[in-house]
Amino acid sequence: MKKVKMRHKIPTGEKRSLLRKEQILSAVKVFLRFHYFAKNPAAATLPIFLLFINTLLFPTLLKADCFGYFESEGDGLQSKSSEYLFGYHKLRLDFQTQPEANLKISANLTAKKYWGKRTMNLMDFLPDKLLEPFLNSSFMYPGEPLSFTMADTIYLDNFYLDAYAGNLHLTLGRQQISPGVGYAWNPTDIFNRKDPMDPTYEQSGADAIALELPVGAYLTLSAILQPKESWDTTVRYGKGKFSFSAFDFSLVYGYFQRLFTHLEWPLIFMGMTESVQNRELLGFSFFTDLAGLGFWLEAARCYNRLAGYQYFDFSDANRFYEDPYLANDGHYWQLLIGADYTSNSSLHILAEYFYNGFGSKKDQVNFNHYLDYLDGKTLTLNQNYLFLSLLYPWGDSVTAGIFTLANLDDQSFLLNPQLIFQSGNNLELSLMLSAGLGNAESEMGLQKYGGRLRLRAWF
Amino acid sequence: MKTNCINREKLVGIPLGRIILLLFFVWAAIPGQLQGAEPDAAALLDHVIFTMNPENVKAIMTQTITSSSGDERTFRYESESGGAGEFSLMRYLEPSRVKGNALLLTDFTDNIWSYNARTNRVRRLASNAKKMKFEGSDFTYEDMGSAKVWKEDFTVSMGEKDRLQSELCQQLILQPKARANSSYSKIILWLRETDHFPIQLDYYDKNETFLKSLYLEDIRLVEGVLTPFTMRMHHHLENSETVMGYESVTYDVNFPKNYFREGNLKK
Repeated sequence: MKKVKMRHKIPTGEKRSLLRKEQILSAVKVFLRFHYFAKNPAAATLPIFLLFINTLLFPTLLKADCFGYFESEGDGLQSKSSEYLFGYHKLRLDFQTQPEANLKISANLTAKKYWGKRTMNLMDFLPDKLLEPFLNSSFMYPGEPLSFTMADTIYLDNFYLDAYAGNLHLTLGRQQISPGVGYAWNPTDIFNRKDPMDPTYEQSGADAIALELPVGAYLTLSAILQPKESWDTTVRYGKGKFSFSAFDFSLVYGYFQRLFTHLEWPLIFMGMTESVQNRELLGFSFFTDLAGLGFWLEAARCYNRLAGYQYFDFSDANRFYEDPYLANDGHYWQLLIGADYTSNSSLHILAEYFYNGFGSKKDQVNFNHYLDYLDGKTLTLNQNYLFLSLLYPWGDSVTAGIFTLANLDDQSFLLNPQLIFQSGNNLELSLMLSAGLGNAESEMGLQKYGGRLRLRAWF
Repeated sequence: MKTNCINREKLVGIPLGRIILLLFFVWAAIPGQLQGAEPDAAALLDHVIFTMNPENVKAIMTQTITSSSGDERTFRYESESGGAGEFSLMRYLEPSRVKGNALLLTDFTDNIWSYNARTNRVRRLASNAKKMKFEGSDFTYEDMGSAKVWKEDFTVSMGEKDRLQSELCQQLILQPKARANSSYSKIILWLRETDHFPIQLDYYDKNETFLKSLYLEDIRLVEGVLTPFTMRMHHHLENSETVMGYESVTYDVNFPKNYFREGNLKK
């Protein structure tokens, strides 16, 4: 502070002097603040964000429709011998304005604050047999946690522009892209990974340019580009959808890149290493109505196009670190078959079978499979899964249901009864309980029980 | 009726036999009730379908659901309908829980697409989903569809004449054909004797239980079309009620070709 004072000429008049002092002090404060933020970029996010909202966004959004919801969730679970109690409060603000009939601008701002246990020990969610190398390693103390922490966030989840010119529809900006006909899984979706435990929950936005053009009465063509640092890494997606009467049929092409974080072998040089896979996807989806029964199919063939990055050869690794992705040159199939039916009493029954060639074969699950699965790089841990759901509207305000998620490879499943209660126009309370059944080393059997209580109020 | 439009001069020179034949066809095309004869059930149903399904409609509607416990929920949406009820597109405006969500019904509710704005996902529903309650209301998707399906999927017969709300009414009884995918075993239409416009519809479930009644009230003439401004569905078993009403409505609207398609759900 003294140095700053000496560098500036202090005005002679008392009033001017005080004024100057305040100005200098505030300048110093600003400097110190920026200095602090420069050292801690994360801490700068909020003020910069507020500045952005205040100066740029608000004048536009004042004319916009503003709506959204508050959501509060509490989760409890027991995995192996550890108990977790955690949850979050979330505020989502949606803004939407339509300056002209063919132009719409939408945005949403999401703030999420976690409570309870924020740090998860990965070891609690992995079978003991996969942890043996760590526990026996002198480079890792037994029980030392491999953990991840959930941090509070404020972010603009989506902000995009919809423009219509004749039949052409352009969506530009950060937007949700949700392709596919499957309910719990979508093999042709290269933008998101759905959580089959909560498949209707909103996804994060993708920075993309999307074009949609109807051609004639039955055909719609779509193209999506998700630009990245270079053309090689840019995600490309194209779809032709044919709809006629009770039939919907789509052909899909996709190009994307996945970054894999794996453990390197041998363990003595243990470290996390990264590899990149460039992938091309050819897929199709189909929906039809058979005498009131909905039937759908979604399939994708994924081709591995190596990117020229270092790729690890695990050929001499033991069973924990074999890399299955190089089998069949890294190409694989994903196939989903589903059906649903609504009875006269409004009971809704839905079933889906999913084959994921990218998942681990039966009894061959290794540590890296778990890493990829928890990191969202693969849709499932193993290859064969079943999703079954029953939903029944119980009176005007309550929907009761039960769904199960089964891993057919390790013969474990989760049984989830749920109740959804609606009150008035804008309040929804849902309760879901969960019981994991199967071998203690199996995917679902690891989790003994769990529960989720979620309240959402819209405004 | 069409004879009024025929230029008299053009009749000169046409053989008399042709004129008689033409007059016969024109007479045959006029509904029975206008000829003074007793209408038959099929003709009455045609009349009801014609009256209830104008070619194009655009409206802002509200829907208030009152549950048996007295809990109330109100929805407001924009509704567009074309092809005399063959296509329908509904976009929710309120409440915010469903704002932006949309529904597309084509082929007289045989095909249903549901768009969720929050997830930006369009999901196609199987035709049996039309038996589901529409947003938890007392209307099903089937009830929201066009009356035109009655002609194809139901057999129609005349019922009794009776008084309803002090109006003399003719009952028209609809029963689904064996192949029809309907939730009902019987629908009774109460047509007021004056103009054969339906003022009440009684629905019976598959067990012949009297399930619910739709009351068409506050009937006004809008752009030459009889329009019930209030449609009240009362569920007799659950003792709940849903009231749908027009905030604004116009029939003077044209939709572009191929307007009723999946892509327009998001617009």
